[in-house]
Amino acid sequence: MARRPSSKKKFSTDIEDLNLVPIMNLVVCLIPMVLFGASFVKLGVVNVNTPKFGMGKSEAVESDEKPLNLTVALADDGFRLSASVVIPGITGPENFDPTAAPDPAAAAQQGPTIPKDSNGNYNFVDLYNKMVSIKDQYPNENIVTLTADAKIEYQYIIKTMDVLRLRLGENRYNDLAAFQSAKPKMKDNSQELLWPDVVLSVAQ
Amino acid sequence: MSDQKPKTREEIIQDWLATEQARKRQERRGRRLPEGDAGLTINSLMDAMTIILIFLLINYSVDPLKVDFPDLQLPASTTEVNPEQSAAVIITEKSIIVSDKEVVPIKDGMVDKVFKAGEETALRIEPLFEALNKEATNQKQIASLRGGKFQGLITVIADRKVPYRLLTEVLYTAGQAEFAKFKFAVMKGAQRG
Repeated sequence: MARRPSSKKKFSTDIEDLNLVPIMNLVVCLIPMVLFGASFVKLGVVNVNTPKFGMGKSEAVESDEKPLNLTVALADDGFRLSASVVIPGITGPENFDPTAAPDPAAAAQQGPTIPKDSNGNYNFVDLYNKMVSIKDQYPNENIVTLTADAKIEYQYIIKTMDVLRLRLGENRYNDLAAFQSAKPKMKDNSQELLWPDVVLSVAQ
Repeated sequence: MSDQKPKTREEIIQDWLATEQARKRQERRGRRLPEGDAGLTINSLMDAMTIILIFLLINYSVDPLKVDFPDLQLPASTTEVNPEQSAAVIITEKSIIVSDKEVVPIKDGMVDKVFKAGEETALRIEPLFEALNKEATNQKQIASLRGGKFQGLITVIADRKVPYRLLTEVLYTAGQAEFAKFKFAVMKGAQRG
């Protein structure tokens, strides 16, 4: 015979409540402790190659191919791109001397390759588009020299490196929103790199 | 319901038991109240607290880098690389810090030329060089005791507004002190561009 509802009730009412007060004390102490210790900012790092300083000291690349010496320079008015090889539409005018070392001083007189947009922000979308097209022409090159004017803030250097590091799903983006929401392109279960070896440089 | 059957013996006993139980319950409650033993209903609170505690413990991570300075705002980046234990040089808006000691003051994003062998264009910051040299010597000793090799790894923790010139000066000085591998500390989770 099934237990009567009345006797069931009797049984349950006899259980005393757990004394949770000591556990409460513990938890109340632990929560502030962990809260103060917790770091809500997730830290990361960006790897940088050994910088080179001064001009004409660039290490010899052991390759039969001519080194590209691709340089991205940040200035107040935009990006300037240069290379030791003429890349039409990318490294400045046609009379660019291919034998000369990248010379930010001379490049400064030409005006930026990629000017800032109308809101005064750096045009990272165009930079990405151009860097992808250069990468496609020189698929074996990984090294890009990054330099900037003395007053350029560190955060723009980091942003530029972010843009240069990974290849995204598309080769070309037309608007910022699509560029920002783009996912990195995957290849063999890892992200496909674009220009991962950034060398910081300064012109003296 | 006039044609209601008279209650069976069983039913009468049941009814009696029910009223008796209700009475007892009432009695118990009545007894308990004056003792002040009603107790807070903290069960739901406990549930919430436990969940918060577990959540916090999972997210709890001891970062190898200390970035808790009032005038230090790290730049944001899309990187997914985690920081590792290494020597660190911290560039805040007001000073350069090596191993928790302020080494050089910064004014308007520049290091005064008295710290740079008196020349404005010099790259090497002398007090920073000495501090980093000491750090490198320490690290070499530790490395040799542990049977490893000195990695020459240094993490640069710099404020987002640090001008490029100052950054290169610090990198150059670190390079002179035999630090050859650089990592820049950033905040994760930024938007591209």
